[in-house]
Amino acid sequence: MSDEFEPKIIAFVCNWCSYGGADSAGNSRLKYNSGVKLVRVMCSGRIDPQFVLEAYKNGADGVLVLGCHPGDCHYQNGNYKTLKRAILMEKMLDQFGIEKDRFILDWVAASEGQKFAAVVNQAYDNVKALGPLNIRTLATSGKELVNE
Amino acid sequence: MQNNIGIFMCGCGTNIKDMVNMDEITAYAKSRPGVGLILVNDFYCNIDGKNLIKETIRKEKLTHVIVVGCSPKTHLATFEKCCEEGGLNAYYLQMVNAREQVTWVTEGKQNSTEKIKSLINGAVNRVVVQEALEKKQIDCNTDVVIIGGGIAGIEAAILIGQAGDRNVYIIEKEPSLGGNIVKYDEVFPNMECAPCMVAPRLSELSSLEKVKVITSAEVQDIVGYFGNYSIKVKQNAKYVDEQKCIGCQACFEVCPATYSSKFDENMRDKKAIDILFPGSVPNCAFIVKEKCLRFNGQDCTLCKDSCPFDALKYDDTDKETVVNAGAIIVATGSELYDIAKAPQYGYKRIDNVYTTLEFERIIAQTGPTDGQLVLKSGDAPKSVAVIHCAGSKNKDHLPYCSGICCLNALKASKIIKHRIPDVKVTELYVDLTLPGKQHHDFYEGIKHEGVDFVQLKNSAAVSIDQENANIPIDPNNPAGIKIKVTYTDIHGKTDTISVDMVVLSPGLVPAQSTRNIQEMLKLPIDKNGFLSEDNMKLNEVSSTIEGIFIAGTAQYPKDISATVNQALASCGKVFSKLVPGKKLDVEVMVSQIDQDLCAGCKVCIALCPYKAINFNEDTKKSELIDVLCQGCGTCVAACPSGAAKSLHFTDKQIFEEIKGVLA
Repeated sequence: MSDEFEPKIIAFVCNWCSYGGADSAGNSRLKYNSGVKLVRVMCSGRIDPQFVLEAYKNGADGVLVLGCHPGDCHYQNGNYKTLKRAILMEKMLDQFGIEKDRFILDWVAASEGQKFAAVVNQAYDNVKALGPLNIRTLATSGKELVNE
Repeated sequence: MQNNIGIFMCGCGTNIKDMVNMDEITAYAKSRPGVGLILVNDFYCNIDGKNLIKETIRKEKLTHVIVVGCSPKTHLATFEKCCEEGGLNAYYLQMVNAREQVTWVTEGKQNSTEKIKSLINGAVNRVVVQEALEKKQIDCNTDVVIIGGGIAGIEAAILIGQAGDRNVYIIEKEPSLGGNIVKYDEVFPNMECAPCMVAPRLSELSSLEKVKVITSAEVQDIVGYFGNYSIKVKQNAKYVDEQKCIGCQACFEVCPATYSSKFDENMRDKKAIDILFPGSVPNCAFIVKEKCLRFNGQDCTLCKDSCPFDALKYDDTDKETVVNAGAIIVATGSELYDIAKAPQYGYKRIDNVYTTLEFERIIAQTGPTDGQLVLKSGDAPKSVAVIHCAGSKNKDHLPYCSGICCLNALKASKIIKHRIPDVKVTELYVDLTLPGKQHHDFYEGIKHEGVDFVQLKNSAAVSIDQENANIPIDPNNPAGIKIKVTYTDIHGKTDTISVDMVVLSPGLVPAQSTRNIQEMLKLPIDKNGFLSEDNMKLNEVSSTIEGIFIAGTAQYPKDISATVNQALASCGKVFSKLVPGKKLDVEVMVSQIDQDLCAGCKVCIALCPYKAINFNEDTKKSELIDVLCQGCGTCVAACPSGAAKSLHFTDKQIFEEIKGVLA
């Protein structure tokens, strides 16, 4: 194994659309990096911002939140609530010094295997370019944040 | 008790087996805390595989099961069943999607192996903090309430009533069932007589023992949930005994008081005691209190004196009743858009400008002119303009296409041509919306009969005014006043035609009663105010609230056949979901609100799409109605006190999974 940086990415996906989208990618044998791992919840509306932070804390270099397209939510409108939370998340993560490309919200339908693969591959490339997220270093070197 | 996790590693033929280093995976999995055994097999979804899981659970006294194989979308239910049959609670199962989400999408055996190892680690972490959940069932009432007695309500009531296995209550605001359809004379595309089509249906409905007709009634309140609704109904006094009256008309003839009837689009007077239309159900007269002399200070008893059945009840009062039912079919319908809001069409401003519905009343045998197609002057029109899209596809009025108004307009032309063969009819249209089995043929037929068609630039490119007084009066038109229709056609050319009569074909908007029920139940609506369905493709008949179904134009404008189809489909839902003698399964993976932790902030109540959370005013805390909860977990993610918990998707379970897959 080389010492090259291999990003760890967690994708929180809703059961109905995006998890199905990931399965569709599989059915079409579309390849994406094995560093991307999925955590299934019933609705993207269930995704607590704490889950995202917990993922970073446990070593994720990037986090994806994927839900049904607006208007398609299995639970009527959970994804709109996710969208609102994501907007807040982005502002907060910026203040923590976590780059924008490490947190992605997107919509993937159950039929959109192509889109699923494209979204996770793009996220992987972006995070790889950023390098590892060392959240512990960030947390202990307050100076760095202040200087920014 | 010590954990004894059993991992069933499926090779899925070659789909997983040949794509990974199986020995490395099994060695790793075996080393995880709590893992008692790992069994590799070619298939677990076939009968042998399933039996192996069941037997192993029993024999090895497994406390938790992890199946590493395909997507849970494919076989979660299969393996849940195996657990149950093996004597293990199904919620002690976790699946690792090693096929769709690993071997099929990953380059390289080693990468797949590593990914599966970390997913197994996540599953091991998660499964030991999973909780056993019990499948729950509740007692339910299988009776049905249908709100709205139009064609949707009538057909639904008949279908359920014919089954005879439950009571059906049909609640109608007017004194008779019938709705809009009985106002039509003929209906497209076969030009059947609508009242003749409805009459045998109404008589069928009346003959059904379990169908209870509640007319002159309004729903005041609805409480409860799927399987157990209580509907409060106010039934207005008719002052006539429904059990005695047979609608013989003796009283109508002697009644001295009249009023302008909405049923006839205010074009014909009705008596203060009358029936709505011949063949009403119930066939019972009613007194309009505001118009009756007796109720307005005079000592008139003419109706009572004339009644051969002693059916008059002057001391009748409004009644409030509560009807209990497991499901509600909302069939409250729609009405024509008030085209007076678009002054360019001259409606209510210029004589002989009618809507398609008024036109129906004019030509109806039971209508204001006893079926004569005449102008206000009493003469037959010599020229008529029929205008499509009146107010439709226009952002200032109705931005949408109602889909039925083209046929309504074409039908008007057909009737006009049929009644007055030498009349000149011009149809002004924007696009022709004519899907359906015979609808295009219908249009071709009318064209063939000599109706002129003019395509407009857009739906607003037409205006209607009184003919200029300077133009000499047409000697062939003794009424003298003509109507000037100015339009811009598709090529941008502006022109004017003079006609005796204009028929406007406006679109549909939700009826007031649809809006009332929507507000009462807090049902979501679309951007045009129609009731939102659960799923536009797969489930148009369910609202977003369990046990509340939609039938007909309350959902969006549709024709009679589509309305009836939806009504019948809603009955299918009722029959399938509410079976007499059977309890109701309720969602297991619901939310819970810890009453000790809840701070009563109500954030969850605002977020819940299913109205499944109530605020208890006594305890000042939010309470979950678990039969309504669908388990999305949106309230859990938002609860600032950590009081809300999502069963089978708890914070702890998800944190453990995150830690596991990232380790």
